[in-house]
Amino acid sequence: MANTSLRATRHERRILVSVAVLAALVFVMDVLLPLGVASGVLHVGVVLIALRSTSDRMVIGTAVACSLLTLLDMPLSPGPGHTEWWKVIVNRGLSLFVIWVTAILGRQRNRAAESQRRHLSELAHLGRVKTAECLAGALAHELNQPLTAVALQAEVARQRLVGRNDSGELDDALREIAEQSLRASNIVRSLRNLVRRTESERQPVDLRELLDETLRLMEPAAQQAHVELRSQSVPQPLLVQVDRVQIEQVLLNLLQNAVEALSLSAADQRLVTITMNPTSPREVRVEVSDSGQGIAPELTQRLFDPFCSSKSHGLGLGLAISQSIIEAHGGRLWLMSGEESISQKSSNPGTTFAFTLPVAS
Amino acid sequence: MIRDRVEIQMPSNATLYLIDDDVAVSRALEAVGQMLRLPVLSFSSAEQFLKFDLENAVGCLIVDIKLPGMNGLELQAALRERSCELPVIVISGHADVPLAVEAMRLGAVTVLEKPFPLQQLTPHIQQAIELDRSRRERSQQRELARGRMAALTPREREVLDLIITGTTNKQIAAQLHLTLRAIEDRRARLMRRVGVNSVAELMSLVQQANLGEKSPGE
Repeated sequence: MANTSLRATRHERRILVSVAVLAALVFVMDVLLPLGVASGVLHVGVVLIALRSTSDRMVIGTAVACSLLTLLDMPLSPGPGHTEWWKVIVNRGLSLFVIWVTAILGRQRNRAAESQRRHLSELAHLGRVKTAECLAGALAHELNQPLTAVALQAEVARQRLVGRNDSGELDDALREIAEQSLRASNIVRSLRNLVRRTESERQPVDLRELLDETLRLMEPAAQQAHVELRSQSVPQPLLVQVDRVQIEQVLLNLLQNAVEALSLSAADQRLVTITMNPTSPREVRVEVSDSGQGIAPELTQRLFDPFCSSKSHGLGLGLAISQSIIEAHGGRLWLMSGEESISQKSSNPGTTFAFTLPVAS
Repeated sequence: MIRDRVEIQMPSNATLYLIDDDVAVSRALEAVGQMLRLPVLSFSSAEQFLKFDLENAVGCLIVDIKLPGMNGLELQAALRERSCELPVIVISGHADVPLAVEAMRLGAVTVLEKPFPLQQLTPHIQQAIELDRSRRERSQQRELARGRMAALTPREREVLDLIITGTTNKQIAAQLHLTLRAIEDRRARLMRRVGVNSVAELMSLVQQANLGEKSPGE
């Protein structure tokens, strides 16, 4: 953390120095050369450098400084000797205009980028939290079974020893085995309870809007993989009562899976379709289909189990997490068979995942 | 440390039925059953258990809530549908409060979260088997009482129904337009026929016959 902030300050200082040096150069040039409005263009360069900083103060300060320098130039530059006064004033005005337009537009862009970055890191954080949750849950479940068997068998063995001579030491050992296996499972359980406490904030959201946002996040990766993302929805809003970030995580996860599933397909057959439809007054259904090779039949049974993955990377928790999120929202997430799907018409079997969410009342 | 060997008097035909898909847990529970000197029958799925002769299943059932295919709760519901009253102990791999509540609502003797110490399990097995035994005894008594009552003629039955509601002989005579003497005769006959010596015995017989049925007042 400290390291990052130190690096950030160094970055800011470097920008400040470049801005100051460049502004001074432009000022000197402006004073010495009869270029008129051309100097304004150079000030834009100074503002653009300042925009590399994330701080608003730096950008606005630079714009103000450049404006002052532009005005200060007016009486000093060799303009008046050759040009009429009104032209000089118009030149300087244009110069100021360009400086401020650059500063303001640049700042807006910076802010949008910043919010996008925060959004992504929020999603990444949720992903990590959910992964930990899922891991702890699966671990607790898998460990509880053998630990139950150990504790019970040890106790049964103790019972069998009753009445035999010299069984005291054995009895102590067996009691220890039983107690420690219970202790181990308590540790696992408390670990799971610890990570389970993730807050969830539900609010009414238009699912179409949420999809648009997710598609924007997914677009760069899709373009890189030469996959076309196509979405179909209804004209009216699809209001659901959900935790925005969590549902976005589910959409992102399904889209990522779909895009990755197409890596072996021919370049002109890489299509991912997302449809959203109300299936009843109380339910919305979302389908994410890809035109890929489909899922191996032997995998479909275990698809939603933790640690089930066909990929060389990844933990195999994505679908397990997505399913737990959707179920926590009162919906269902499942793999559709080929014939069931409405949106799948290509020759490839493809894969379609569907989930439902209850409509906000 | 003082400890007693777990020694329980079990009905001779009581069996411990197990459904758990985890082999190690199944084996451990089998060992518990053997320790309690109970015959053990192990099943790996609820469907497999339902194919079993449920009517003659005596004892208690231990079932894991999470099973491949039909889960523990669905099995409880299915057993109810088949009016099988075998007491059920539900064991669960992860503490899920709503599921536990649902299991209790469906009539589970208890819900135990894995892992549980043996000392926690055995009393529940005892309790469940005792519950099964007393249920069976009651239903046997009911069948017996009903058999005895079935021997009554419609006229005797009429008088019996009035006696139960606390009507005196005089009132009954007035209501049925008969002499007090005739009512007394009929009453003595019906008591002989069902084999009781007092009104108190008669009342307890009627009660036994009605056990497990909802009386109109409830």
